Amino acid sequence: MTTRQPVLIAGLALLLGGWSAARADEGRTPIFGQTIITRPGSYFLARGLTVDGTEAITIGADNVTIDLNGQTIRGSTFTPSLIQIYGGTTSVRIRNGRLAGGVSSIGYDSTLAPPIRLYLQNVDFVDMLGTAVNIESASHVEVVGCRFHGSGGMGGGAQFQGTALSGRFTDNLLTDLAFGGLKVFGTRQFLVRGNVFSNVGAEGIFLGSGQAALIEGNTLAAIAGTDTTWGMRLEIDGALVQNNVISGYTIGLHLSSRGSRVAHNVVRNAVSTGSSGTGIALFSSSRDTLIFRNQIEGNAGCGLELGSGTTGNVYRSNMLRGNALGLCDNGAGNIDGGGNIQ
Amino acid sequence: MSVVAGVARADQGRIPIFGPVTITQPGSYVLTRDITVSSGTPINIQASNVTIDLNGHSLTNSPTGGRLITIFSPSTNIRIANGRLVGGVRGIDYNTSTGNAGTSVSIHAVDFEPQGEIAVDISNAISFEMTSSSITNAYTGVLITNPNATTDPRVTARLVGNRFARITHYGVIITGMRSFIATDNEFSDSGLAGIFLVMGSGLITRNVFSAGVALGTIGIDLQGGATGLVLDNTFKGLERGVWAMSNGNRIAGNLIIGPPASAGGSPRGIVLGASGFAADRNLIEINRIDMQSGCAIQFTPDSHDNIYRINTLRGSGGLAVCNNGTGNVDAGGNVY
Repeated sequence: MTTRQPVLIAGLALLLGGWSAARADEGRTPIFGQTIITRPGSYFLARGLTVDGTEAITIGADNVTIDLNGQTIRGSTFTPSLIQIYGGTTSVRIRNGRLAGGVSSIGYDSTLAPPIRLYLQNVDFVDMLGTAVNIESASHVEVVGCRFHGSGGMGGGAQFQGTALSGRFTDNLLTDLAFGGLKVFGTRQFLVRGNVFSNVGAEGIFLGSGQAALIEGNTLAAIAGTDTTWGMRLEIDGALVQNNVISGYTIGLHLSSRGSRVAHNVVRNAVSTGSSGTGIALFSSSRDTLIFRNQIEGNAGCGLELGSGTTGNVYRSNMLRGNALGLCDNGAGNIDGGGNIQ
Repeated sequence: MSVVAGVARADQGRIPIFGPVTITQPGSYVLTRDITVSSGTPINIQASNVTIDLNGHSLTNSPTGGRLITIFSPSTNIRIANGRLVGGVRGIDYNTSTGNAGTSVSIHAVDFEPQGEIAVDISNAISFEMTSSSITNAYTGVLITNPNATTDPRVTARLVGNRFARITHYGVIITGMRSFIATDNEFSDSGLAGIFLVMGSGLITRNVFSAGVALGTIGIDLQGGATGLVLDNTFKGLERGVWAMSNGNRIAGNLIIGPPASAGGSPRGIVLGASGFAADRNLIEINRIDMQSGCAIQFTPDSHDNIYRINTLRGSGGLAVCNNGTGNVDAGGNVY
């Protein structure tokens, strides 16, 4: 870590900076109250914390593991972030507990410092006002087996930014999030698998820039006709999108991509106002993408839309029955590879 | 015993449970010994944001004794992990009242056996998750319901890596579902169906369903608009592998081996529709179905415009396709 500039917060109950800190069995360091962590190590939350206005835990050291130990950290509407990570911290693991309330649950807001490696496992994020996990500079992220639940028309899931970001977002459950589920920018390689999205506004999955993603085996369901949202919005090249179930969005799968493969998905019941609502939509920068063997059914507009400016895309063996307009090809040089059924 | 803040804490700051308890405060609790009762409920939860680590121990009740863990409305964000729930009429029960916001419950690595009624009954769920757990010898395995199912289907669920064995009624039944994943689960000897879904959309993949000596009934039963991707599952010895009474499913890559002809009944591999329940525009492809009697794929008169292709339907005496619907199309590549 090279650029950390920690700012001490007055009135902290505990400052975990020295080796003299009390240690529990297994050699882990207990956290009893509001804390700034300035040493690498393994920490656990010994009791639930409630904060108002400031962070509960601030991490200003590399190689920190925090076991939330089944406990809850709760913040108020005045808590910007329940756990704040200083710029330049390079490796943090947080697992096994609950982060409730606050504007954000975990924040890392430095775009100038070296990117962080962040690992989250088995954490509940509930009742946050904004995006639960907001990491503005990351090199690798893993979010596994977590649950994100918003309420009151607020809350979002996770947002990661990087320039060559790798990671995985797997086996998570996201419900009632107004501001989107997963947003990732600057991927070098990324895996999104086995997640359940329910009533997630904006986009369920938004990969905004980069390349090389596998998006597989996710279920995304909106409340048909009430949400003006997109199930997946993929603006990266080289995405393999397979075996997902997408239902009830304004656009099920929105793609601006080159060289991707979209196969074996079920995309249904896209509904917007009136007769619009598209199952799979390829927009202007899309080219050389294969749309293969998808079940695209019951959408109020086009089942498969190839927008103006799209070219070289191939669609074949798709099931397109039950859509108001079936296939809508407004591009040039897109190819019907055969076997499509309308 | 009532547990409140300020009581003695076990190692690492968790609150010990060493006898029947009513939890009234959020927190992280750990069971420090087995608890056996003959009536009543060993653990009552009357707070949100509660984590209970059963710590490898058992809660035991008499066969007619009551619940093992009761979650009282409006408690939510409840986690229960790592132990055994033995006996009683119900293992985990959410005691709801209508009109509240619903609950979120997560269960991990818990073994249930046997429950006289229902192993897990969550009657007003927002989200439900069960992983790496087993339910054996119950009347119903998991029952997730929503009191406003028809007007506000909102159950979100993940069931991953669980085992359901010798269930008299349904292995998993979810009504009022919105979004769902069931993967890597094992269902054996479910009396009525392994998975029974009403409404919503989901992914059901890499599960195994089997019957023992007796003729099993249904592997996956999709009703009331429940729709999704039924992919790469294995079914052995069931009277129905997949029964879809909904539109727009993709049923693909499954292996369905019917029961022996001597088992009787009227076996079917995949059934589309039922009297009064339409099944339209479904896609059935790349399945391997081997029936010794009955039909590999049956389209009832209430099925329309479905497509089947690239299925291998050779069997040892059963029929390949029984098409009593209209507009259903052989799109090629099927092997009879």
